[in-house]
Amino acid sequence: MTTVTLTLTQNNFTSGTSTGTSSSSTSSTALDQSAAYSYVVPIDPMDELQCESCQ
Amino acid sequence: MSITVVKRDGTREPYDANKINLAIERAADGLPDSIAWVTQIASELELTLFDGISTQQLDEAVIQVALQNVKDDPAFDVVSARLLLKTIYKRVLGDYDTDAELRELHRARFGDYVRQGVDEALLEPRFLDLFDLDVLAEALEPANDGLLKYIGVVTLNNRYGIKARNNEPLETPQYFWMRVAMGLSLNEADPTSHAIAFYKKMSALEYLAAGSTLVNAGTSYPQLSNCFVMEMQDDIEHIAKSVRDVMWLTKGTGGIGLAVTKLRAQGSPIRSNNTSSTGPIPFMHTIDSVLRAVSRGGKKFGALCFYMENWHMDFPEFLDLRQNSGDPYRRTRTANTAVWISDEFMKRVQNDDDWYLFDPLEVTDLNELYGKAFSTRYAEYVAMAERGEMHMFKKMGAREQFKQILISLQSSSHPWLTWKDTINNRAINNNTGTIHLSNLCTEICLPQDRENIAVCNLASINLSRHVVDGGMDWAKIDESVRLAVRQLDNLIDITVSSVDEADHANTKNRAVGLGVMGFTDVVERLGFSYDSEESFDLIDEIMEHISYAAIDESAELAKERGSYSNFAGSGWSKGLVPLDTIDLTEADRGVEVQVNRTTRLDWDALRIKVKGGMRNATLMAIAPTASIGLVAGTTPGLDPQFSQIFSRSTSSGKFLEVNRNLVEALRALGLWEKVREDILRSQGDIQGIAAIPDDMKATYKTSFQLSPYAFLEVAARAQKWIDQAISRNMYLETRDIDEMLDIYTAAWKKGVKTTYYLHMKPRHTAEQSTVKVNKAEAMNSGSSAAPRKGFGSAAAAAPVAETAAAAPRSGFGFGGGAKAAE
Repeated sequence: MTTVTLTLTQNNFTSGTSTGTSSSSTSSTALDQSAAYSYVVPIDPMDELQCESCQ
Repeated sequence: MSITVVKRDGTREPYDANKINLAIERAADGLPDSIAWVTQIASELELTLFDGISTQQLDEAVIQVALQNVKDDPAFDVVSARLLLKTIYKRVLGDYDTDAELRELHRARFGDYVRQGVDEALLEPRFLDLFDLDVLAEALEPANDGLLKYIGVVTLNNRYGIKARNNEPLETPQYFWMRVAMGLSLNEADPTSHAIAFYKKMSALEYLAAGSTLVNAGTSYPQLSNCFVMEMQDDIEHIAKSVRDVMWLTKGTGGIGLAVTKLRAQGSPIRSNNTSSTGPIPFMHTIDSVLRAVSRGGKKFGALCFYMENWHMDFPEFLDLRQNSGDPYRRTRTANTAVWISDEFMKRVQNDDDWYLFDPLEVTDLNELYGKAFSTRYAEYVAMAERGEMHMFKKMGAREQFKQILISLQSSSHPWLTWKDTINNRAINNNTGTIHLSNLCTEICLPQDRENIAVCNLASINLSRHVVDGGMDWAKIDESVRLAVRQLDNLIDITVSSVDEADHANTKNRAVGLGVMGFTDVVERLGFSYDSEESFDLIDEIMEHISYAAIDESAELAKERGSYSNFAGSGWSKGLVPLDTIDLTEADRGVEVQVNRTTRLDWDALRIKVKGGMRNATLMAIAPTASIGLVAGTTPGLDPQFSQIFSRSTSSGKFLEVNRNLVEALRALGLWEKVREDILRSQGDIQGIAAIPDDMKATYKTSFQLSPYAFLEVAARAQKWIDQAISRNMYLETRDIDEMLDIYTAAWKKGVKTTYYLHMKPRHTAEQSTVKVNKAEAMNSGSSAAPRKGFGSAAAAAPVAETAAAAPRSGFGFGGGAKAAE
């Protein structure tokens, strides 16, 4: 499972994505100030489709 | 620490926060709570900065920060889209300050854009002679860019926009739409006025041409057709030619359907060299390799679906093609598979009868037959087999094979189920031969043979742009359909391909497929539930209007331009419309087709009209619209909402999608702030959130919460009016094979022609998103926390101290953006 990070305060600009959603978590003292809940975001199955070829 | 910004020319200047804030403020103009958003983005941006950041990186950083907050409010998507658009404008058009200046720049630079494109051999050279560029420039409407979501801007640019030879973006979105419109008006007597008419529709996202058309229309390589449907003949020469044709069609960005049923089975004799055949499987593997070889630098594989009838001796191995284990030379890793199923088989499944597999070499006529004729001949071959008169055959329970198909479908999403007799009996053009397969996305139903590779040309009406006053704007739908049909008909005379058989079929049949997207978007906005009678009646009525207008327009075009070559003998020439073919199918099947037959429009008048001539062999097909749906910013095809919040991962990057209809509906009830964190916690599922009213929960059911029979009913009611078919994705929670058998049997009973991907709920992995929250606050407030900024109060979380140096990234916006921060 790919871990993605939606927060902006991390290493967001090293990935090749458009939303900065696949960066690895970086620990720091700041993280200790707030707990982290892990939420999951479903992946749209339309991405499996190959219809970019004609669509 | 003082921060300097490196400009494009290499010079440095101090970071100017005011300038950035002003850019963000403009991007947030007109949005509710805009000041709060600006403050939030600006303060979060500060955390990402580092000394020596380039202007391009700074532009990207601002957009990224805005995007990070989409989970809090879809308004951030609007801000992101505007920021990205600004970088595009500046790169393509230069600096500007006001909207009026931007509009003027669009007009002033349009002629230069066309001339540069022609000079660099990127655009159609006739543009300079055929069109009044000044008139076209006056028609440009940059304000329409506001209709695009961020994912739409990125997709439009990365996938469809043209780059200059120096790799700089050449087109703004409005130049792009106009280029496509011009490229589809070349054969009009008045190209300029028609280009404007097409442009207005596409620019307003009221309908969109399909991908290949958007990529290539108006360019120096106008391969505009979308779907190619071919069959492989049982001889080595034609197998080799098919490989060649797949290579050329793949190079030209088309999706391919390829039937292999005619190939003799493994072990079947080859008389010419006194040996035996390997069967079709190795040749399918060869073509699978071709799809990876002709792949644009390895970035994008070709796309193809193999079709086989399930009476073929090698069908059990066909079922294994997509399995991960086993001999890799007998697998297809890239190509898809679909099974071509007869009524005879479905009846044998129902009756729990035996099913026989044959070598095509011994039953050479079977692949050409359908309906009753197929059943009769099949029974004769069965009798021959039982008498010992066949060299090769296998016998198994029909129900057993159907379950094997469904088990494979469940485990590998393949093969897709398609029903040959429903397709052929409902075909308006069976005067030109048998339909042996559908296409890559299972929405095309056209005949093919050795001399003809069926071609279809697609566009889709964006239903969400045709809603007015709580209902559908039927007059606007009529207008959109007629222009789309004319545009598609033009395409046929403009497109080129490198396969003669495809050109031949395209010009002889002039087949087009107009579909729809955004159905669920509309259902939500009208407050219906996808699985309600209102919803079923809505798609029924929508498709009736589209069908009527499309057929009528084609008949009008026939008066203006003449009928397609194969019109004589077609169903049209006998006064048939697609609706009439349901009765024909039912009569041939001998079993009721379970679909509502209500009509609302004057079909008798149209029956008379089509007898006089039709311009196009086919008019309608509902494609998946997975890509152009992104540009249109609506739900794809007839698909349900997958989740209220989910990730999309496309060739242009990853995107977080939040259902704006839901956000608006919750805001209207004053609930959004209260429940948005709960929605994220529940992975975009609102059904367990107590604060949300039941009627809203009914409207916002997601894919796996809906009955699969609702998907089938929506498809059946749409299929009623459509001469081709529908890319009907299926979503199932159950893994019970008997239940699946009932569901897919119901599809056949309802007259659904094809199904597409099966998405099984447990197979979908979810992406974990770590969102920092103040744990104490969350614990105190419970899951229905008091209003806070953002899901999990991400914005309120203490910042992580360290930030990383920005690195150049690919796949971002229009080549990365550049000047917005300058």
